[in-house]
Amino acid sequence: MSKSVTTVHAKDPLWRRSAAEIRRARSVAWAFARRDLQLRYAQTRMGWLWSIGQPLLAAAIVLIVFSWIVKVEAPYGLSYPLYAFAALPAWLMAQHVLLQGAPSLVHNQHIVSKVFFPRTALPLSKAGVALVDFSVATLLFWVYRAWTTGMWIEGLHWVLLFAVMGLYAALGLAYWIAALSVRYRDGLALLPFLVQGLFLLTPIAYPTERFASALGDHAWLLYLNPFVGVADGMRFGWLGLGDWNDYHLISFGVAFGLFVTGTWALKAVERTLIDDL
Amino acid sequence: MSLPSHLALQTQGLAKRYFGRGSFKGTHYWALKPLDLEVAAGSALGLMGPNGAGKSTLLKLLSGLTHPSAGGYQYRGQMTSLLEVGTGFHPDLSGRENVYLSGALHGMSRQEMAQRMEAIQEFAGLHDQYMDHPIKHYSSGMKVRLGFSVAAHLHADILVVDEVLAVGDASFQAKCLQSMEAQMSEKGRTVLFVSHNLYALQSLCPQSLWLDRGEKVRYGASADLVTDYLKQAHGPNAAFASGHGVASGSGKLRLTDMEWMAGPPQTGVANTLRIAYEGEGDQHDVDIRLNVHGNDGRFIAPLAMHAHGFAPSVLPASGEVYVHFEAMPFMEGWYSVQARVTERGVVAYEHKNVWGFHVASGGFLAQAPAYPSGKNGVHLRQDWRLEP
Repeated sequence: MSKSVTTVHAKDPLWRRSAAEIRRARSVAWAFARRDLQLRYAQTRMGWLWSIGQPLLAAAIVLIVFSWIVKVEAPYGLSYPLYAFAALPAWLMAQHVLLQGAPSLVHNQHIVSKVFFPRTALPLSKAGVALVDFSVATLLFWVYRAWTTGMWIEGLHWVLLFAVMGLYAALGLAYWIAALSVRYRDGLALLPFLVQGLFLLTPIAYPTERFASALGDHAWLLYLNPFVGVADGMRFGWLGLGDWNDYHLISFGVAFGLFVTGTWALKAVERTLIDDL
Repeated sequence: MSLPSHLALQTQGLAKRYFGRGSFKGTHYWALKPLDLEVAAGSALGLMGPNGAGKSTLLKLLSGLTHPSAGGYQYRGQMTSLLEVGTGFHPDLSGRENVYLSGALHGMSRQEMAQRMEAIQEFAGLHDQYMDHPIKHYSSGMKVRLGFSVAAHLHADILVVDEVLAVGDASFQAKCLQSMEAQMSEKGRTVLFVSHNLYALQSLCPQSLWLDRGEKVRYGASADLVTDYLKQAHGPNAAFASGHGVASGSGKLRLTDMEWMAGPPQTGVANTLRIAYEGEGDQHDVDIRLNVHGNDGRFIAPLAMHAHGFAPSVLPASGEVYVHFEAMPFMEGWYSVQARVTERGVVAYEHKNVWGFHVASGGFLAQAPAYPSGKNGVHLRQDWRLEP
């Protein structure tokens, strides 16, 4: 017989993760992402126009609150919208992954408890819609930047790099919360505050320098929040502000660390997932 | 450990332990005690046992949903488990997209599902136009048919099936059973099958494993096991005494006891069934329906209150009703009883295996000799004559 034999034993090491498993996780994630995309904006009047409408609304809120009411000003005499909106698409992507990915195991209990697939697939699938939204918002900002500054392709590779970092950080965090939520739903109760807190603690709508000056010599602490690195990097890429900053490496490290440990965390709860959920 | 080539699946000391939570902290129990099992390639194994016997735990372990606490198992080829029909179906997606999604969850690519789409559609008996409609517009029967159809067309060397035949109408159930048989005989698949429908189990699986409280009770020919299982699990007053199985319903009224008043029933002899119930408040418009099943799980006859003209508008909160038989119509053998009681049209009590009884052999009529038969059933009054 040519068919392969699969062996499962109580004493299998916890971290064993085969290539087949990773492939499976990807294909299941893709199927879920496809489902989410197909169902996105089902039964809405405006349909896909919402993927343009949503980032515009988010931008309008930032503009009204931070520019008109709080009167935050962009550094280097830049126009505020250009400055603040640079980091917005990446943040919206991270926000979507967090809000949708973290509770995805609990929300899909009925599926999770009936069929086995690598559990990272569910939170991972939320990156699908997030990436589509990110692309649309990025396209909008790209046109806006070209229109106001005349820059077309400058810095796009940095934008891409920092977007990937943002995605990894958001996925890692979503994996962790999803893994913990199997037994402790507290993480899900905290989720809205976490997302709101991250938005306010990340210099998206205000200059990084403001934050950094508050910390003095310990400015590097700021970059333990990987989204600070992302926001900084986005402005670095889009607007050429600041320099490549060694602190970015801290953010990269944290983002990657979150992703790897988050993957493990989900793998670890996989074994008893349906007993605890 | 290596898997002998004639086996599709082998478990060695496979066990699962659960730890108590909350007020049960520090305690634990074995949902499945160490189990050694060998399933030959291309064969079908039935799993039987009351609720809480460990059947579902075994299936969850094999499907990878939960990890063993001790021991392990190995299998050859691809194993697909089917613990539910239509897993992952989303009401807003079209039938076609749901087929792709459900397939993906079971490890099938879109391309593989596309190749099978026509067969799936045909098996489910759905027209083209329906396949492109969101399944929220389907009837529940259509959804079930599509779900099973997907399952029947998944690529698998070993198919683990839990109670999925309990859904759908009788003709579709028969079709599913046929399809499972075909899968084994034509495609050489190995099937592990759990069902409370012992008739289906017996007709599909030559061999069965009987579990109770996480332990193997017996392993052997399904026909023998089913008979003994019914005797043991659904013997007289089994459910009332041991709490086997789970009752559902509003609880306004519960059946508490059943008894043949004239002693062990015998074919052709008069007897009266006493049905005791308990509840709260006046019981309005109560209808008790008992479905009597034979020793292989086949439905044999209903005992129905309203259908036999007995429909009191009010009954006391607790009390008894009686069913009188001038001549016991049931032939020799074991019978199990399914109960469903409604009060004002609301299901107050429902139990799949509430009671069982044995009928001793006897003549259908006072003077006639006993009728020997390997199977049980009911006697119909009939007149034999030389002239019409």
